[in-house]
Amino acid sequence: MATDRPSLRGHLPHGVQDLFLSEASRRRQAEAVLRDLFARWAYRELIPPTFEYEDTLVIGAGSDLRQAMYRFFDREGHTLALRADFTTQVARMAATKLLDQPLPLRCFYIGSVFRYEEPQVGHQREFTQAGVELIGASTPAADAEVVALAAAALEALDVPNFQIILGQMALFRALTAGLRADDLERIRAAIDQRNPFRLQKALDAAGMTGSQRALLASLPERIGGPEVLEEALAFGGAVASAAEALAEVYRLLDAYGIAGRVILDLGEVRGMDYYTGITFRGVAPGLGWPLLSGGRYDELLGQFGRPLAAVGFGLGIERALLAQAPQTCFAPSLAPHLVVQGCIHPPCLSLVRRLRQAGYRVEVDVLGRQGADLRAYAHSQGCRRTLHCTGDSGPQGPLWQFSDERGERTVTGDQLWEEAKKWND
Amino acid sequence: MERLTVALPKGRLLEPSVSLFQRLGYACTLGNGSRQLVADEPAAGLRFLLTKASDVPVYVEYGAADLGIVGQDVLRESGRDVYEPLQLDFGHCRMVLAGAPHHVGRDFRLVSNVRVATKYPRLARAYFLQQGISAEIIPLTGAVELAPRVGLADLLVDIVATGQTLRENGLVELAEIMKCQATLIVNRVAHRLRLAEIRCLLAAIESVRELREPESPQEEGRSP
Repeated sequence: MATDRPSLRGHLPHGVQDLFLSEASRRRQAEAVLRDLFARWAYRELIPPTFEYEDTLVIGAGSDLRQAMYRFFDREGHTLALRADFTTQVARMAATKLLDQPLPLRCFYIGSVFRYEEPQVGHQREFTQAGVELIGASTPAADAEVVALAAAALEALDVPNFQIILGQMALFRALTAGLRADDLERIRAAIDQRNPFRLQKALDAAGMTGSQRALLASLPERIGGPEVLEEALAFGGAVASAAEALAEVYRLLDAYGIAGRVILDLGEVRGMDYYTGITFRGVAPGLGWPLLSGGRYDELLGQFGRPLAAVGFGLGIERALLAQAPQTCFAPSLAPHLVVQGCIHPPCLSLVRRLRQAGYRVEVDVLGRQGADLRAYAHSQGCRRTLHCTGDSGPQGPLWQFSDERGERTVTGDQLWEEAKKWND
Repeated sequence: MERLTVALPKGRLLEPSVSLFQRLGYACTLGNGSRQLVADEPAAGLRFLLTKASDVPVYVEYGAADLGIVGQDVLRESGRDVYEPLQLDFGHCRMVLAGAPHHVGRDFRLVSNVRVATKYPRLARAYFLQQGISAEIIPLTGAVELAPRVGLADLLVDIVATGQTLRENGLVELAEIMKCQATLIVNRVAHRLRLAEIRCLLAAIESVRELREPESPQEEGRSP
């Protein structure tokens, strides 16, 4: 049967997007801000490949992420996949190539990840993640450092009124230790939905009683400051030590000066097959999804043959940009400082080279525009200044015709250089 | 602080939803013949939106509304990621599998392909998968009862309140898939960022409603 399929030429597939002009520079600026921040916290950049063997990338990936991977074959028939996350790649590198580096390792990454999911606002099939991993330290100090760095990242991106929601998977794991897998999953899902009716039923089905049941039943409501930990601290055993570890992280975050940004939430039980300790998410008003998420995952590196504790987070740059303060002028101006008429005289092009070396954006016309035509073109590029070489020389060397908001005049090279010192746009 | 935004569904749940908020002391002037889509109540710090029922979970997941009221049928079908802290005791109905009387007692696992008309393709697919039945789902947007009568489908999956519509179309219930009722849903971020306000509203709602959870053994087995 003949079908009339519209031509796809010139169109984009669902879930990817072009970035250009100010949007492109805004994205790059955000990346630069984070790269600089991570470096100042003594994290070093890793640049893993965009695709690898699927067998590697699925290690440690939850079933949702596995399903969302883009897969394809190489010519030998091996299955390859585009990365859907950086953490597995960082873990692989830490457990293999970086084997002999002193611990702890502090790594960061910035780049695209790919997920075959229904695109939504701030959630495309290709999106940019920036994140850090702190590997080889299982202390509350390591946890607190990574949470504090996450807060610093949102601060650096000028996300207003953000909060960090901090949970403790170790506490939930300890409270549910020994339960059958299906009972456990029903309880976890009900807490994750904050659905008290479903939770009571799941606790009934699992035959749970006493203080263990009471504490589990209260998890969805345990949102707030350190007071939400009281009952868990009194519980004893692994539950109390998990609660104490979280309390210690909270005290450290207070010392970092960001306790006001932190909301403790013991009902945060997502990613149980992956996280082993603290978990956290960065959120901001007006955006329905977290901007970043992370936590402690002490079991992943062991799957690459080097059991090491690790904690980290990944931040969605597009989402963070959506949450930025509206008045944030994050993108630097792209307009040239000066538009120069095309010229073949060496002194003219040498002046252009000096200006560019000094950091000015200088555009040299290549379409033979002159006079009013050149000025009109410069205006259209957002620039009020034009220059052309007169071909004449005075006692101070070659002369140029310069034009800006104040009108047109003849200048020497030195005079133009003085002018340029005032170009601070 | 921005006022809390509540999305209310058009259709059968609107009247009881409006009356719930009116009993809490809000004017809640939506519905009742009015064409208004947004009702602001600055003094109460609340804003109501009127949206299509199936859009309520979308508004809430995106955070365009902080809270919403929606039936379990629509919520499960949407697959949206929201919190469900409160079941409300109105909008009770059941989602059933129905068909002509001669289908009663038939083992559909032995049929190579059953055609099923429904407004709930996602839930229907999950149900047949769980039952081990090969089904071709025919998504419709309304008047699903018509499909078996004119031979478009063998069976249908739809919600029933009294069973009246099924009877009028010569159809009988073959199986119950889940019980449904109105549910209060909350955006995951708003639930933490605006905890105090949301807790206050939930407590007020609980104080005027007697809350019951329906028995729904079928629903339990499925992970949402």
